[in-house]
Amino acid sequence: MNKATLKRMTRRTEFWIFLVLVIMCIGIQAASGGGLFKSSTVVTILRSMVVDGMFAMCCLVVMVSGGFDLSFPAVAALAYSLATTICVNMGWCATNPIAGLLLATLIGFVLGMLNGWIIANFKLNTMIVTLGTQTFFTGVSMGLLQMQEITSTLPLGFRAMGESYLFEVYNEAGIRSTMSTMFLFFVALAAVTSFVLNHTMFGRALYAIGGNEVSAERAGYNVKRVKFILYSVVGAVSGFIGMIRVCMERQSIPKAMVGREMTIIPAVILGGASIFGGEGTVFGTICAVGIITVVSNSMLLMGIDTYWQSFFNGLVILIGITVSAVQAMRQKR
Amino acid sequence: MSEYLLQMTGICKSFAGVHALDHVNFAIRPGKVMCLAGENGCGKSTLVKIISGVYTRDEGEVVFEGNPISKITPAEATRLGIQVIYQDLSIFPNLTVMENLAINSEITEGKKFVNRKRWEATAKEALSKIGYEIDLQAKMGELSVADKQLVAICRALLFNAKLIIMDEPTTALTKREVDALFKTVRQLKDSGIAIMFISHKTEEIFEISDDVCIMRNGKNVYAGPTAELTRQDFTFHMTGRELTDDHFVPKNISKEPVLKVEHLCQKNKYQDVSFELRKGEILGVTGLLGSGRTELALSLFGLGKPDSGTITLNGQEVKITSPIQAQKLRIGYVPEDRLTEGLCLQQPIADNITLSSLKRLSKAMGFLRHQDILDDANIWKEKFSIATDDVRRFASTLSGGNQQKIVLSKWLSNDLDVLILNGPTVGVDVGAKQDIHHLIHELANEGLAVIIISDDLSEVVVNCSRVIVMRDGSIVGELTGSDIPEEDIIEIIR
Amino acid sequence: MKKMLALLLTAAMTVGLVACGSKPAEQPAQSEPATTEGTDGAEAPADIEAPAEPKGDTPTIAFVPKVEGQAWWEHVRGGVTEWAADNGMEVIYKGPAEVDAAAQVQIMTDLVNQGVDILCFSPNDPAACEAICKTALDKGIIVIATEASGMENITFDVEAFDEAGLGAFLMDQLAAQMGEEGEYITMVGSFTMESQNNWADGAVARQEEAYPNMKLVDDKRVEDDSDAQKAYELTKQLREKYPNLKGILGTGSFDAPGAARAIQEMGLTGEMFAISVAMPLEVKDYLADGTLGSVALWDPAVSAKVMLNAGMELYNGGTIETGTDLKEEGYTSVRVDGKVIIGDGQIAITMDNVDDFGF
Repeated sequence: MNKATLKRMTRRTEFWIFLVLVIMCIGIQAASGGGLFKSSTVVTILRSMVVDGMFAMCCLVVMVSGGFDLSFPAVAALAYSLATTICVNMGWCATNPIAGLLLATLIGFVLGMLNGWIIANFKLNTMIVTLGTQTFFTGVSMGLLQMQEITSTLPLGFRAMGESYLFEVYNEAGIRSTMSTMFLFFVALAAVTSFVLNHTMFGRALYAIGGNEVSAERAGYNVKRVKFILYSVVGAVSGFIGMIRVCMERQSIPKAMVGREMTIIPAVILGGASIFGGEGTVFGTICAVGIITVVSNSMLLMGIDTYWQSFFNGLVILIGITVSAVQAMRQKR
Repeated sequence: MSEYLLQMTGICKSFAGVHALDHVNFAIRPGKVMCLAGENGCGKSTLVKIISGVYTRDEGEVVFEGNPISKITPAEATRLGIQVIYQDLSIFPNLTVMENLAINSEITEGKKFVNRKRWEATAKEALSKIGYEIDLQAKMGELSVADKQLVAICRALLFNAKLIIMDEPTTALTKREVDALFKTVRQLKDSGIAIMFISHKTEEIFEISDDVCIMRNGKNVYAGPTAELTRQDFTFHMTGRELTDDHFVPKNISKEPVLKVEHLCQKNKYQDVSFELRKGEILGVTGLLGSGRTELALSLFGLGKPDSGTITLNGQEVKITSPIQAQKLRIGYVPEDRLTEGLCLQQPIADNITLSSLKRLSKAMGFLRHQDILDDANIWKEKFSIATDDVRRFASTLSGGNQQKIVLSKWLSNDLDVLILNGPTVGVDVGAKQDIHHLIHELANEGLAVIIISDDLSEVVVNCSRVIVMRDGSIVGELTGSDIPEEDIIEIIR
Repeated sequence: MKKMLALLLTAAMTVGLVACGSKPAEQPAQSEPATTEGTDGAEAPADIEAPAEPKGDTPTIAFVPKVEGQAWWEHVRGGVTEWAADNGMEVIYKGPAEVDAAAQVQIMTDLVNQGVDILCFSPNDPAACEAICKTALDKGIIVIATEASGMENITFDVEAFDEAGLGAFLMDQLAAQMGEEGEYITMVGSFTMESQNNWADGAVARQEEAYPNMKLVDDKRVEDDSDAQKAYELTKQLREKYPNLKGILGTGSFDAPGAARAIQEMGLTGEMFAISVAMPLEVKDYLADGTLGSVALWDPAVSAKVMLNAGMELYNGGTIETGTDLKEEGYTSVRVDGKVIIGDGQIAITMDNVDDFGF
């Protein structure tokens, strides 16, 4: 490793965020008397990362393109509420959850297309557009469709998928922790996102648009089409993730996702994505989601009151945005 | 085969009934540099957009390499070998040099997946065209403007460019960087590439161009070899009026110096600087970038404390520790970008003029006295003969020169003894530049002591009755007289 | 001059309004509660005098739920219908289509104007209902509310349980499952929900008094933001932190379902226990597989019947005081505290009755 490479590496947010994660884990391990690096705790934390981590991937690609998506929780909620309701009423998914997953993905795709269409065609600020569609989708879900909570009547296929696991571990007290099969989806989505961002021209188009939209257009990218596809796919994936969440939690609660964007977007920013677009990696994002999950899972372990959680999340927002701004300033110079 | 690479005749383009281009004719020869000159808003950029296919012409003929071209699209322009390097360079600051170089051809070839080996080959090929070397893995945003420009040029060359259009490439460059750029331009020229160089800087145009096309109000008023044009003709065509280089002749210089600087030092910035400044005098401070000229000015305005030495103002020794204190001591400082950008266009002229003196014009609790603001603005309107019938109109209704008068009056509306102007006409076109110069002369003759900091030697020569030349933080020469030859300054400056 | 005129007009209008307002109150003066107008409101219900001539005819009764269509309120509708059939009477059951305070007040206003005799309701926003309830009282209507503690202009408010009592009830059940020994901790939906915290306090007080072998492992309460997922995560973390933790005493309706999922996943069914107030169908699976022994609830249909019984009792000239029998299980000897009728309506939901509610 030569000096230039090393220097470039230390300039990246990912490097620091990874360092923070490692130091924090060691710190918590020491402070909690070895409570963190136990197979059961590690499994529990990885499990908790699944849903947030997957949503973070969606946020990441949008932020790389210089946009903001505030509507993904609303898209996911409407998609899974509607899909679950349909499955319950039609008696589908008693053994196989595929139909529900496809349905939610499809609904998410349609909602995402609406986002994409507005953003691509009217060149509006993405934050405003998605804020609008977020409210609209929630309104459709709660008002127009009168979506209800589904818990006990949840199709058994969903539950079976949520309960399935790759392996189980026991801690010294004999308590079981299972690694949910859903973790595979997280790994797959992260791998696909990373591949798309780094090895396809579509991914490079996102970075280019995030870096300088006018230049991207001049360079020959079809910016409109790229944005339309981006938001549509993000919608579809959000719907899918929503359904994964339903399976894991064994409940479909229309309101459960409200405000979720406010914990995930800061995490993505913390992970090195720039609020001005053009920056961000899968690795950094996963590290940042890791930090947030580790902290929220360790608060009790460390004997910290749970309401400190909000304090910590706020801190993450501030740090993330400051880092982002400092980086942008450095680039301007 | 025609003598010309590109010939355009009778080009018209109008937007919503307004003629942006009115029967424009011009031609570019291969291997030559043609300058497209004109003041802001004369239709230069519209013409460029027609050539590059962004806009479609309403009327007129285009002939490229002897073949008439009916419709130009951006793709067609690229195919023909026309490349535009926009003022913002169209680069991606967040990506590596390699990706910036390779991205366009990858897209043109319709590639779907990334192949970094291929990118590297493309990038190396691009750099080799002008024998330029740079770290391919460096982030574009972290390069200097000059380096960014060279990368943009290399990228343009990848497409077998026959015509490269450069939109005001020298705006953000230092003199040294401009020289380097011109070297590259000549190199391209020698390899048979035609360059269309858009600029409004007289000196540069005469230095680099073979042909010149001057536009005014959507018409081309001159097209022909640069050599057949005198500077006076050029300025006349640009502005439509006779402009003369009115050298400043100080009328009433005070006996006693208003500002006296003795042995002023700031570590690593400037050393042992001493000079005097009298009322009614315009003092030029020049030197290359990094010579300490700006740092010296900032110290006089309370930004950057000198380590030793004294500053005497009106006979009293003072310590200037902050801009607020400097203003109290009646010292004003106008930074480089302020004259061109310090205007709220969608606000009334009066509000713009009084922006920096609102404290004086408000009652207790900060409520504004609107009548006083209008009165104040009207005084400045008279003083600077700002061409408007009502100061309540938006600043955007004024011409460029008048807008700059407003900016200047904004800074002057607090009474001053000493006014420091840093690069007062950077990025300003010829006509407006002269207006500003006249204004500064007037102010000096009214008894203001002015310091102009500039690396535009012609500006220094025209305006200053005395010039201090700095190099590496020290004063290396002082020239006096109302007609200092530029060559003399150049002699000392390097 | 103008100002003067305006002032005069205003004064005139005020007088007019006062006159109008007092009229309906004066007319039925001999008959019913309007006579109590001048006296202290709090005492009013106790002072209700038997009407001079008991009304032998059947009263018009209305029941206004928070919302129509939801399972909870459909169950209440069932109870009301059953009561009407048993008593040979008709009850108007009408509520807003969605949880909307204004729409509910509108419905109540219509009913009051129609001239019902007994108005039972469960307010979406107690404060918003005060005005119309005042009008109703002034008209001599008997106004019975539920889950409306703190309301002024009502005849009575029926509450299924008192807060400490419910807490004790939760503790009794948890203690039975835990074998009356072991460590436990308390969980609430939110630290800011006063009632849930009061229940938890009541539970802890009960443990201290009756179960000396049980131990509150940490004074610090945990909150799950009324989210079963959070309750699930917290349960796992709590067990990680306190390896001997044996019981979760929850209060919010998401606590037990979330905790149960964690207990099941950790393979601790039968070793670790959880309880809270919860919706029967949401915990049915956990009751079925034994992860949960029981959860607590009250039957809103029974509460509704009690409200109707109370209304009839008053209509027929009776009084309600501590010890009165309102003829439903848990309400055979109610306590009366000011305007609040408190029952012992809390019930344990087990596999035996989990399907009885429809929610």
